[in-house]
Amino acid sequence: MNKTFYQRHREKLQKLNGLFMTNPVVERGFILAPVVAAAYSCKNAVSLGIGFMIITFLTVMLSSFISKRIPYTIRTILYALIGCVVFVPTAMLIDWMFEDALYTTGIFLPLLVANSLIVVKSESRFHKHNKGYMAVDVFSHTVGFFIVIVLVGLIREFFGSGALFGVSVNQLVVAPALLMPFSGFILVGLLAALGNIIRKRIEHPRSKEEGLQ
Amino acid sequence: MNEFMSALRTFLGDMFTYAMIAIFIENTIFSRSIGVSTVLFSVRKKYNIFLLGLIMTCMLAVSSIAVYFIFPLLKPLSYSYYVLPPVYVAVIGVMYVIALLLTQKFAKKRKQEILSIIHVGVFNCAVLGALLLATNNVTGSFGMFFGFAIGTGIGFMLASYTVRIAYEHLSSESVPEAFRGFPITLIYIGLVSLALYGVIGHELPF
Repeated sequence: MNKTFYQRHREKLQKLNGLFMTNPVVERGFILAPVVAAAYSCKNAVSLGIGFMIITFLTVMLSSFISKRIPYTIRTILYALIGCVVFVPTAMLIDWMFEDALYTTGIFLPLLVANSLIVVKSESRFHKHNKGYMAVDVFSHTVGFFIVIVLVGLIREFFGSGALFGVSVNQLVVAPALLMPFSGFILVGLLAALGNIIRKRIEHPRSKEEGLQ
Repeated sequence: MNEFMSALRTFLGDMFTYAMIAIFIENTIFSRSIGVSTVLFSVRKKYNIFLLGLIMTCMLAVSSIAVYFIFPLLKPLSYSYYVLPPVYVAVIGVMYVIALLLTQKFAKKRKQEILSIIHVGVFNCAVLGALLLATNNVTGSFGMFFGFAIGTGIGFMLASYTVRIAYEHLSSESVPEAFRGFPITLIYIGLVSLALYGVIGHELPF
């Protein structure tokens, strides 16, 4: 059976798994709150996506310099406090880039300082590798989150408000219920199922014979 | 004496009302998805949901007292938006350490279980989110603030239980493989969220 590109380069691609194969949102179920509750417009989604990328990447990288001799509990608190320090310039940048974004994203931007990748995954995954590998791994996870939140924001704004980035583009099929959190849960659930199907195809592709049967 | 009783009645009334709001109308799991990853993690690992909810409720109750008195000092600052997260994280961090120390010293039965639940349930975005939400939503008396915090913890416990009772079925062979486990659980939470949305009197905007 012919191996797929992923199977042939599995080892090399492992550090990019955060993009899709171990995507923090649709595969792991982390950081769901901003995606489900706040990503009802493209502007919110991009603001939160950028905020998440900067806060998580810098926090995980900076926190890797904290000595392992400090007790685990204190280390975890320090990680979140580093996240708070990184949050200040990040929030200012987002406020400068998108008008009213701090208001429309509400508590979900400050909430990113204690997200699961910082509080849980820093210790259990990222800090176990060398700095180079860790940088690529964290970056791929943050990009994975960005892709999902923007996709969810696009779908919900297009079908929920009939617009994209506030510009009216769709007047045919508009269902404002898509802007509600319950639609966010259902949409992310459907994306997770779709991700499972694609992941299975990538890992275990059907052979031609099997396909014909 | 009468004044004291009247003040106590007002306090309890405010607390009860805001606890109910936090449990049903502003449930952090169903209305804002805050803490869903903690719920899913604890359900997957088969943690004691009630113990987790109880610890989180106690944590929120104690933290809310500190936050209630700190917030008025920070609110007038023009940069309060940037200062609140580190202050709240510091408050939760202190409570986290105290909770661990108290457990180490006083817990006799199930010490290891309680310690592992404290690590999962005390220092996470669900607690931080609940405190941020309380300062955003509750602008009244201490009873309201305290009630909202306690209600958030109890709401989290009930939501976790709602997910727990269905999780085994949702992870069973009878569910199509692509949807099994996490995807169908999210859809299930979405449907419960939709049901609550209707129960509290909203109408769909179709």
